[in-house]
Amino acid sequence: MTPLLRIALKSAWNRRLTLGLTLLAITLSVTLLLSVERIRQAARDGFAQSVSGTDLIVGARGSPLQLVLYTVFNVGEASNNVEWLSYQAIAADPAVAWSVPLALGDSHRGFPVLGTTPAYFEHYRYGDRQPLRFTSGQTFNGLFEVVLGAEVAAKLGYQLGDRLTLSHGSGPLPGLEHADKPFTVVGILAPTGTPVDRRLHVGLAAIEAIHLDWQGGSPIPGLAIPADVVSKFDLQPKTITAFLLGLHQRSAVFRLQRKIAGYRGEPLLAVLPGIALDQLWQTVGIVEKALLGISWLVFAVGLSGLAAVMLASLNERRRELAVLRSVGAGPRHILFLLMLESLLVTLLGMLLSVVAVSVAAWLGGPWLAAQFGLSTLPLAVSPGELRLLSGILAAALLVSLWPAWRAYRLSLADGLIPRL
Amino acid sequence: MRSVVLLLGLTLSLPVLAAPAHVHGEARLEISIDGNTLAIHLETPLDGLLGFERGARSAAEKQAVKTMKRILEQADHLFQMTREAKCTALAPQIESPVFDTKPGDGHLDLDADYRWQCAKPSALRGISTRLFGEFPRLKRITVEFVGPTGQKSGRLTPAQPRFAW
Repeated sequence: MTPLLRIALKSAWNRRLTLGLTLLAITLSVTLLLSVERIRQAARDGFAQSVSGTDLIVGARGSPLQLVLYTVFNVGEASNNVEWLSYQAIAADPAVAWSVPLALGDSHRGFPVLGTTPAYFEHYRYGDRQPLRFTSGQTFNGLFEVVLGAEVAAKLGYQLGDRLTLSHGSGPLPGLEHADKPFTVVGILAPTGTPVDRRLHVGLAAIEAIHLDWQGGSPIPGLAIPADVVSKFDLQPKTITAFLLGLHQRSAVFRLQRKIAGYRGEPLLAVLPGIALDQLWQTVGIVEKALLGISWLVFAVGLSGLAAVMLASLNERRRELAVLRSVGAGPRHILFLLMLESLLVTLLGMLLSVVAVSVAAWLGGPWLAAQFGLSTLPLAVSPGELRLLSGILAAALLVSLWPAWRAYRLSLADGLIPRL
Repeated sequence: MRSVVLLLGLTLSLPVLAAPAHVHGEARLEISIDGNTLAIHLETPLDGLLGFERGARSAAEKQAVKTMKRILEQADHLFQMTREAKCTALAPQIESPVFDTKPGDGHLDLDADYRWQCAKPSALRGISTRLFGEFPRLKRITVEFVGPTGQKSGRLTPAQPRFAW
């Protein structure tokens, strides 16, 4: 066994250029397969982890998925607002244990701002029902106070006591800055790996206050209400974007959902977030399968490259194999030798791709998280990837049988007999 | 990806009405586990069960309504759950305008509420249904589930009448 391995290695080294290129093809195709699998899993986990413990999300009537996307994932926007009165009426339902109002629409240097109440930090759960934690500071109490998500603080270098201003809308547009009413950072949240990390949190009254001297989405010319007198105004919001509900009893959720759908004040929609996300995956599943299918095709190309190289090398190795036969190697040794070579190339390719994917996840993970809201990519190989890898190995084993079998057949009679 | 998700979100905008859509051949199951109680709410257009959506007129139609009610009342026949959970069915509640003396016209639904008390609710892992066998006009059931493990949705068909969580 060991001498055979040595012979295989030496022979392979002799043909290092062609084998090296084949190794590259195998490595690249396996890397593609592994990355698709890892990103797919990370996207799923990221979505599923982002909200837990919330029984219902309520917003203006529209698409259920859209509601979950803009309330939880900062993606898209609401088609309509919810009246404060409707919120109060529904939150007062005896089945409701807690409620958290959400007001969206402002931003700070590209990061979305969420207007809410301190109850948000108490009731919001992510992952396996983990609560939000503060790395420093605490929730907002005063009017112009802001709590930062972990990434906002890290990216923009904010610390407790720093002052910042909010912009109207989703991006910095000239003249739409709430520059006259700066906020003080009073709390920074611990990293969660969810969209919470990319949000700034302020009180609902603060959202109302910075828009006091605004009308129709722009400042009223000639009217400026200084920050120190806004507290004299009624800062009770008239509308909010959506709200989260937690119930005393899980089983009441469907009944309350129907009740909210039939609410007479305005057209509302209540969504079970987990179910809306499940429905998203049922649709996205097709795209995922297509991606995975394409990756397998690329891998098939890599494998046929391997088979082609092995088959082509048989001709140039005729003498080599014949010499081996003449010094006592049986046909099965030849068979084994050829299979060993293909397997070594595949194994080495797999090893290199695992390293490549892990390095890529380590280097590119934070960027992906920031750009696409994916949760941090895992560095270790998951059980799903292990299954994939064993599938790859099995496929390579099957494919290697072909050149090996041919060599086995040829080596019985070929090589030493000179052909004229 | 953000824009893809957004696009998907918009294209998935299912029509949302105050009442769930009335689609013939489809039904909805809402399953909840809370403490020791397993509850299932079934909602379906009458067409899927009877083939007509109005008051029974002929003797045969009246018989059909009776048979339907009898089948729907057999909770443990219609739904099988993990045996180890040791669930005992309580009397189901079945409501539909078709049982009224003057059922009226238009699209009629049926609502059924089933309830079980389970000795070991933590053992519950899934449920399968015989609704498709009993009512061949039923082609698809949408399932929404809430339980200690979270929220989940699924789709049952005659070929796949089992929902696991």
